Amino acid sequence: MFVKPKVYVVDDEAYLANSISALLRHEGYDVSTFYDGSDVVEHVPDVAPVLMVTDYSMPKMDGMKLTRWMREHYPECRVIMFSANLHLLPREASGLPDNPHFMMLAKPLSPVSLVAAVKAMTEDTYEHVKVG
Amino acid sequence: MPEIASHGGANEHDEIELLRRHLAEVESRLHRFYENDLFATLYWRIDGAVLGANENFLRMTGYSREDVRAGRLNWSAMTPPEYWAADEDARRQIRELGYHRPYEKEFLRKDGTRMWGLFSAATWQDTRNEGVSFILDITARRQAEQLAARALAHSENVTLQLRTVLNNMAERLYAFDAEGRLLLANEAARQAQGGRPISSLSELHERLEVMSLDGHTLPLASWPSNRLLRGERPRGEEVLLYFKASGIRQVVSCNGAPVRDRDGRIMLAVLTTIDITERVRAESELRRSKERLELAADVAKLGEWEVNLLDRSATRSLQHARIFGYADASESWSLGRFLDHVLPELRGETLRHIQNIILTGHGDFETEIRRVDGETRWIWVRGQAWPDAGEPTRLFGTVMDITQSKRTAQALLQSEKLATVGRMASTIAHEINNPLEAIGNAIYLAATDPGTSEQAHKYLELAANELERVNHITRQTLAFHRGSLRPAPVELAACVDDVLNLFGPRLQSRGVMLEKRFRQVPNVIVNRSEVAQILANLLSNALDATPRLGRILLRVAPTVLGDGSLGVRLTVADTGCGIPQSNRQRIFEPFFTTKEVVGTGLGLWVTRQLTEKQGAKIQLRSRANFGTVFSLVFHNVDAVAVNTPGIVQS
Repeated sequence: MFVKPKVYVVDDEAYLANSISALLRHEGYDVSTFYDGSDVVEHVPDVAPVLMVTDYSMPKMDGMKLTRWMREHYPECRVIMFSANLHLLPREASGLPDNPHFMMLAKPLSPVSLVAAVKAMTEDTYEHVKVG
Repeated sequence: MPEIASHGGANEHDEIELLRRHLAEVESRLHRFYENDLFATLYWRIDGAVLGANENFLRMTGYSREDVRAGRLNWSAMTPPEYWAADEDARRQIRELGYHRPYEKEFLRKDGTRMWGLFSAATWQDTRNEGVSFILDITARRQAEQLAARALAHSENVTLQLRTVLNNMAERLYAFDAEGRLLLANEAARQAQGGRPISSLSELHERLEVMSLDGHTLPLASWPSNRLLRGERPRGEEVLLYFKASGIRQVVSCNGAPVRDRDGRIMLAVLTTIDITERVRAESELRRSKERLELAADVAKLGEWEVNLLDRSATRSLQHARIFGYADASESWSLGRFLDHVLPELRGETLRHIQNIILTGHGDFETEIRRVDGETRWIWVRGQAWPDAGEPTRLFGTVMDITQSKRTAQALLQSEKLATVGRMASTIAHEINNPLEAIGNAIYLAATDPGTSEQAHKYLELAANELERVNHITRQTLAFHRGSLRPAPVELAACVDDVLNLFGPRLQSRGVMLEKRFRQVPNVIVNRSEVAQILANLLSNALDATPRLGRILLRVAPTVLGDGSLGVRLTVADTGCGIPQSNRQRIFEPFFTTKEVVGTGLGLWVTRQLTEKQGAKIQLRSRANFGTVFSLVFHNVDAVAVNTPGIVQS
């Protein structure tokens, strides 16, 4: 039985969130789209995601806070965070690159590299899900 | 006196004749005695009446013989009251003894003036009421005595005055004899001995060190006092005294003279010293502050000038001459020569400024001059008219080279503009980032749609390629603006490639051949955008220096650092014109540029600042007409020496 991996896409720019979601759906992922970090927290989804793709700067709850919240509630979830201003990230972010379950990407992302990154982060879970 | 002899048998007539002759003889002798030049002789009555007097008396007292005959002379009346007691005593002696002992007294001349006489008197044998007095005029002797007494009193007075002067003078005064014994010391000298008076030079030597002003201790034989005793004269010689007991140091000025006896042997040395410590201190303070002032004028590059308005001649300081490019101020100067240096387009304005200073008494202005060597400089001139009221005859003031601060201000303005432009570009790039990504995603989705025709596929591919170019430009713009990115492991080769992408078109248009030699190296821990900036600056310089068909070499290679550890060397070499030896020290200075028109003179300065910020060193080798090699040596390398998976610039 083939189960589509669950991926959250979070971005306050709705057209971009929708565009990325479309892209990933096209690649065969089960995508939930949110338009702010707080959206995720308020509508606690039923299905635990294997990956979250999120923007860093968002008006209500930024990507960093959201990542910490996810760590607590879905420790298995991996995170791809993208930002146009990597240098504006808080100091604690510099400790994260060592974490293989966390990836930071600089904007703008080409669809090819985004898909490649998502695939790289979900490959083993995908296998696991497929076998299980 | 001839004897009166009687001869028996002589006749009476002969006898009488003999007696008469004899008497005449006695009388004549008596008269001669009476009228002598030595004594004044006086016949008197005990009540004071003068019965007769000789010529000498009359001459002494100024009376006439007529006065004597008329009985107008009275001895008591001629005697001043203070001698009446002495006269009374003399009368008593006369009554008792028939004479009185000689005594000295004053008496009055006819004109009332006084004279001194030595008086002696005796009565006739038959009466004690009348007698004769002999008076010796001793006025001259008395006057001499009085003069002597006065002189004595005067000399005592002088001595007293001298002592007062000696004891009140600030100088210490000592008098030593030939053996060095102290004969005299004034109050100041005693005070300097501090309540323990000394008696000789050797004693002083125990208490005191005497040094020359350069700090050498003088042996006793070389002390000013001892040299005085050898006949030398210290004239204002300055020595340093060190009082061993109190630790006090004093600078004193010494003066003195040896005193010789009739044979020319030195018997006395008179030495004065005065404490000039305060003066010396004040002088050295003054000297220091003058030096500081000159130094300040020198450091401030402040030149001074003065113009005589009557003939327009002028004088100027060395610093002034240097500002205008002269080696010294020996050439003559004038208002006209000053104006010759001012750039032609500014001369009218400058002259108006000067006229304004003459009119108002003072003022300042900025103007630009051309130096002797052709360089242009901004100067700031301050002037003051003299006298400030009425028609001034002179102008004086200062001049300062303000080129540096002018250029700084200009550069600051420029960097402000650059920063503003950078911020704007960054904002724009940021704003178009997300739409670009969405467009990219849309193209991707369209391209992968099974219903898309072959032709549409080609269009979408073209769109995707062009979009990638736009993406690249925005990424670069953002990367350059990320000034505060923290140091992180950076793959140098990739960073170099990023920068080269930006320079691609320029390299091509200049026809410069680019050679890359990248060897395997560990990542360096740096601020990526700042290293990119450094590289861009070095590449830009290399491009400017390299002629058409020249070569630029970029090399990345491991290097062994001074402490034996591993570092990374990045080299930018060109086959350009090279940097002359004389400029190599200055190229890292701010505002140094050889590109007069286009250069800010900030590139290499910024480059070095940024390089040092990365914990790296910049090195330079250059040979005129062969080329230049800049090397960056990075010390902070990633110990793991593998590519970390974290930040991926897509």
